[in-house]
Amino acid sequence: MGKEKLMKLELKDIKKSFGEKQVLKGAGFTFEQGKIYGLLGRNGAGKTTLFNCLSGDLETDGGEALLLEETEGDGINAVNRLMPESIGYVFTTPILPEFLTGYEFLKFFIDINKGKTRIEKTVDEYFDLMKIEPEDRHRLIKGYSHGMKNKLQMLCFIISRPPVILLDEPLTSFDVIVALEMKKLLREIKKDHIIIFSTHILQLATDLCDEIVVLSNGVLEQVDHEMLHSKEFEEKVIEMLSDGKSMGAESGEQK
Amino acid sequence: MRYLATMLLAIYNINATINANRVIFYLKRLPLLGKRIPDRLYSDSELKMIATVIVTILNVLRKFIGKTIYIGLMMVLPLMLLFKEIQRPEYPAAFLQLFFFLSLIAGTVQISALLEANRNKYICIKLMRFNARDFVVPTLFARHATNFIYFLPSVMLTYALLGGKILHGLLLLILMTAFRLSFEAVQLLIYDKTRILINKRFLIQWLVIIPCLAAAYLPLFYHSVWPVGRILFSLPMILLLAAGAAVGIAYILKYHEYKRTIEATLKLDDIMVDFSKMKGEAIFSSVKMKEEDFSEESLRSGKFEKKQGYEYLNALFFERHRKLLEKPILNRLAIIGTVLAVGIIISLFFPEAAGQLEHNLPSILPSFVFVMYFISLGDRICKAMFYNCDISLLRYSFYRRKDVILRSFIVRLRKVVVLNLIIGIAICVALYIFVEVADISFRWMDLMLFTVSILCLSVFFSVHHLFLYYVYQPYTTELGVKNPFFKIINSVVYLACFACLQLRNVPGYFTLVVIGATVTYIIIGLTLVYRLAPRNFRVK
Ligand SMILES: Nc1ncnc2c1ncn2[C@@H]1O[C@H](COP(=O)(O)OP(=O)(O)OP(=O)(O)O)[C@@H](O)[C@H]1O
Ligand SMILES: [Mg+2]
Repeated sequence: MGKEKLMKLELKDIKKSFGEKQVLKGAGFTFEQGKIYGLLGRNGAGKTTLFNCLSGDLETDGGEALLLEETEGDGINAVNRLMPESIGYVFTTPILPEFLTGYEFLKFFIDINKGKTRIEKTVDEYFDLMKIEPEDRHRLIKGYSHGMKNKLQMLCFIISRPPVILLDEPLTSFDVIVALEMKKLLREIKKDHIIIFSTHILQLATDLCDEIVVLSNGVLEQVDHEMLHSKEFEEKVIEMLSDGKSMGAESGEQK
Repeated sequence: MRYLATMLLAIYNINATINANRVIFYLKRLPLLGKRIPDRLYSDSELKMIATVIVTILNVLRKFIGKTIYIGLMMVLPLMLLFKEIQRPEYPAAFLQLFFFLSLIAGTVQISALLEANRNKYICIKLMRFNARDFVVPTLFARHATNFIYFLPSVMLTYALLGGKILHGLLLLILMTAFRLSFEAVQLLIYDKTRILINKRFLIQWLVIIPCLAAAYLPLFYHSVWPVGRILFSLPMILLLAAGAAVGIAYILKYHEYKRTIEATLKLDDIMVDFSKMKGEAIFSSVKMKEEDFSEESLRSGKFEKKQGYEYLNALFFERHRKLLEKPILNRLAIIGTVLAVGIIISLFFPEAAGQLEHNLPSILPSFVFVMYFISLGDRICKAMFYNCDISLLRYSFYRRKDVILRSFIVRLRKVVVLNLIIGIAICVALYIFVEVADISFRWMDLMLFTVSILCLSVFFSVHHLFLYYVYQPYTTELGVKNPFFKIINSVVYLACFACLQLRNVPGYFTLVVIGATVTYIIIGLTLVYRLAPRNFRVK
């Protein structure tokens, strides 16, 4: 094997307001490949907004997002603006073309990714992977449950394997078995991706994520890695969430 | 009475708050000014009070003006301008005839204050859990009472100015209101027994409206005026309408299944569940897809398995929306066939009428421009594309890529053009048959040019709709704030078509003008799509 390549997602001073309400006030952070980041924040903190800004669904008011490529020893050898194509994004409320059946949507999605990545499985094998029953595959997506739609969205990034994967509270709608499978799957693929994962479930965050980032008062802060499995962790996070003061947390921008 | 007043006040308050919020929302979208309006306004109750009062006053004014314009455009102007042979002494009778058929009959079938689904009703009954009867019965009376008042000045004044008795104007409105109230009861009865909503059945509506239009205007063409007043203002008629209203009101007050009934009517538009989509309700329900419409085999068939990627997607889109595309085409073909049959019959009985076309084919083209405007498809297909397909896929970055947008534009354009050409060709064929059967002589050149211009118009309207959709993307998920450019371009095209209808002496080169104009528009439209669509084609 040659030198290891490492990707980094660097957010610089991302700003976004809706009217007078400033939601993101210069959020900055560097996310690294190979780790799952848990993004915590109160309702309305701006998690979805941040994801939408990154994915190009919303225009930012300022700041930039860069995708860096580092080779071990050589340092940074490529700096690119983060393009929407490099992102796989699973929305909280899944949005899919409802006039298609699940099967048709997947076939379509595989087709358009054929030139770009290696497709390893057939449509039905992907369905098996997600535990979507054969009789459901040929039904209109319109009639799918929330969880089933989310599974399809998950399949999208499993198929297209973009460098950056954004997950906006996805696991909450999965049944116990699929949630476990998904966690396993995310752990398996994490070495090739930068995965950011927003959730309200603390336990899921500590259990699955390698790092915890808190979005509070419009900026991003990392929870000290040491704290992650310590007893005071919960209190700490709650403290950060409730007043946004950075007590003992290292700021992402200085990393 | 107290109960009525309190209910109405409560409903008014909710309504007014929603309206005020909406006004603030729109104000904030104004260029320049919008930025200065603080969000605070939503919660500032004093300012909001003022906004509410202003909105209410404007609304009332709008209603009065609207009624006056309606009376002016539909009744007074035609009397003054179109039917010059009708003499002054006949004006009151002619006005009565027009008002009777247009407002009293045709207008009444379009209203069902009890059963129609609207935003306020939805919010109050479904979301705020008002008692259904407490909501609909007071609003029913308020609706017809205010309508009576809004009509009052314009009808009484017009009638008096035209030379009628001012009190007869008042009586006319009272009778109209009585009739409307009894018809509300009839609709409720029909809905209760058959679940048919008359004001949602377009066929029934048109079956009433078209004869009414004919009965209102046709006699005037032949300089005759029907003695509407003598019948309407006769004592038996007045008693009959009064009795009808009394029975109707009694039925409405006595009816006890409002909860079930009203909930059923509101369910018709399930999409209103989402607040933000409420405005799209009407548009949406006309393009909505139902899962039951598709059998399992058809979903499983793998008919397009060989197609790839976007081809596959588009093929499936049109396959799943076949009903939406085929039905209007068949309807239109049926209409063309009927018109042809009627035309042939007329030409057999009145050869001289058809003879006017002799050597004069180009003279009918202007009317066909207008016909093409109405008969072309496009608008509804674009809405279906938006609500059923693009609104979701545009969330994905791959779907927003320039080449993807342009490619699916081409595929869709091709499809829509084919559909419209079917109609265009049918019209041309119908004309050939007519010309042949009626034995009209014409210049071959004229017929050729006529055909070419009809086909050009077919392509033109296809491009027109898709161009507006791709460049201005007029449909929105939110309150349906439409793009002003969209409205302007659409109005200009409509006015141009309408102006064609008004042409009396058609110049010889008109056909060439049509061909030239449509081709130019098509070229400009396509260029703009290529230039602007990749940037503008977004969910807004
Ligand atoms: N399109 C919009 N227009 C106006 N304000 C918006 C819009 N989208 C989001 N906001 C506001 O931005 C803030 C952040 O919203 P966002 O949806 O990003 O929160 P979130 O962290 O995802 O919350 P949740 O945990 O509930 O999903 C909220 O106050 C919200 O009201
Ligand atoms: Mg969110």
